[in-house]
Amino acid sequence: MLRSIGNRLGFIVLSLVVISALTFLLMQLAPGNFLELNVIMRPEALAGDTARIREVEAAFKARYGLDKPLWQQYLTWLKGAVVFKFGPSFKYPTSNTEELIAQGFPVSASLALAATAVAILVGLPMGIIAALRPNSWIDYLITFISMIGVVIPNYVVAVFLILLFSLWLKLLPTAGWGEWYHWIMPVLALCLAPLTSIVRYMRTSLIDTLRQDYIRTAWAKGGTERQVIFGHALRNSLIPLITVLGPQLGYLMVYSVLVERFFLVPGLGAYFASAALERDYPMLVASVTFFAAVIMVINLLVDITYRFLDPRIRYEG
Amino acid sequence: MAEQEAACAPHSGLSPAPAKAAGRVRGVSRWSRAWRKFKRNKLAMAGATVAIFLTIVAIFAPWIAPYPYSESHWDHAWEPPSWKFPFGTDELGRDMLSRQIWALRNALIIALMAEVVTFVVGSAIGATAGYFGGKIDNFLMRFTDIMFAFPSLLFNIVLVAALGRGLLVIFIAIGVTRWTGLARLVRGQVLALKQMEYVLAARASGATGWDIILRYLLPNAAGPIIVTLALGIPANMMVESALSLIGMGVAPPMPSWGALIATYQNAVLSYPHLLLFPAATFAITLLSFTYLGDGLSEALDPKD
Repeated sequence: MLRSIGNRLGFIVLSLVVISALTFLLMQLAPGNFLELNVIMRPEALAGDTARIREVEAAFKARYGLDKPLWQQYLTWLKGAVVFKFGPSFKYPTSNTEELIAQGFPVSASLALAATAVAILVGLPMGIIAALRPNSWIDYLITFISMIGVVIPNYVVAVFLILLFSLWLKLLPTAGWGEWYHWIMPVLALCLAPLTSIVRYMRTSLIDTLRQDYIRTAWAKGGTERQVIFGHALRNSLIPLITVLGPQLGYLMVYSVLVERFFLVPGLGAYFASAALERDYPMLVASVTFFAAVIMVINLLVDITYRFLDPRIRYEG
Repeated sequence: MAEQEAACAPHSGLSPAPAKAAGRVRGVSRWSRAWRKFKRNKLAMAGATVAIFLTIVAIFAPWIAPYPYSESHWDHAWEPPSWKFPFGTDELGRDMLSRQIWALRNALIIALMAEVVTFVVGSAIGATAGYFGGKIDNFLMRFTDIMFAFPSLLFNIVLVAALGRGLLVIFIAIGVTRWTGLARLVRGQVLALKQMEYVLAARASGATGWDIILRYLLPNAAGPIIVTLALGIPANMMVESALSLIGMGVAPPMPSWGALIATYQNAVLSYPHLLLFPAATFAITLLSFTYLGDGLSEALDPKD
């Protein structure tokens, strides 16, 4: 088991190197750099003074090490990345990108966790009810609602939430961050996707479990519906649920880019989006690598936990 | 029966007829059975009807849209829906219905072209890995695994940030980030199908690797490939509008659903029609194409 975890870790490291190198390389192809867009093009800054422009450019390149050959830049970056130091951002020259990540990530992560918690609280009962009365109207209703989470992207859900809570009910402000009520709409918009997976998983899994022999035995021994479902059937359905939820958590953090942008939440996604728009390459490379690492580590942890919880599964490969 | 005939026919590059005929004989019954099943599925039929309607609207957008998408009617700025402007107008007095029709056209073009890229890259890599096996398979599948680990939305954003935001870049970017699923599927199909006797027979009569892949393996794996591609269309539309939501989609004044939604977020309290209609039309579009894809996947399911 230890060896296969080692293999997985090796694969994660390899993937991160490839992903970051690819992003690094792509950034070199990009038309127009940060300096041109934000310093030289601004007429009031240098007023077309060519000598000054060259001076600024040289200073900028020296500060970020852009005067070195590409492979050397990447190796320097990689050396820093190992100890979680990604160098200064273009946009915020006084902060290192890891500080920006440290500011934004807790926000994104707690949004994702809150959305997952809501999805579990609402999704589990919905899935159970649908499984207990398969092909009834309530099952169809629940299946339809849970369809929305896959089909409609979270920012479109966000539009309907704004229309409902801000325009018609006049309960919540349309955007912002800092107060507890600012969490409501982003969490609701984000929770639909994991809710859908939970409902679908619980429904199929429970319907399947209810057909097993040991459930028939439990009924035969005179168990009440409550005893059979909660005492016998649910237990076996709940363990694999973490394999459904784990990957969702990582994707929630990435896809919160859109919700954060929509509701003006200062999470890592919002930093990432503005870095992409303004060609803040150090920030872009750092956050892509960080997001990828988070997703892969979560998936690894899920697999390990799952194998601890369910000893029937052998770790192989 | 037909299979055996095809297998027995000597293989030559000049006469592909036996193989083709065999495909058609089997094909007719398979596809018509799927169509009968599809027709019974009400949700899928409804989805298909709406999707076909939307596709026609998208194709004929220049003639169907009541106004050009960037034409300003200055004396009608910020207007709520009326007979003249069924979905209202924006801050420049542009007709929102026309803008949404063009957004649909863009989304559909990008989604379809991205599917072409996905299909070419995914099936090429998957079929090569599955058919040739060994080291090639190992290398290609490791590569696929790594690309699968790259969060696709982020990769898209990085690609568009690096290569610019033209229509071409956007659909290629979407295509090259979404092929991994199809590559795995095609590899699995090819691995299963290459054990079949008709493949052995084709090889015995002198067909080479690519011939076999293109003429025997891919056509027989068509069902699951079609399903994956069909469900990819709404997924690609989502990516396209997500890109334009954060300002990295097609350049203005060309409209896109994501950009419309992002632009009017802060105008929602005064002009709700600017947000309600784009969100609703986009949701209907996604629903119809998803039901169509789900219906196809049920109809083409080989299990029953």
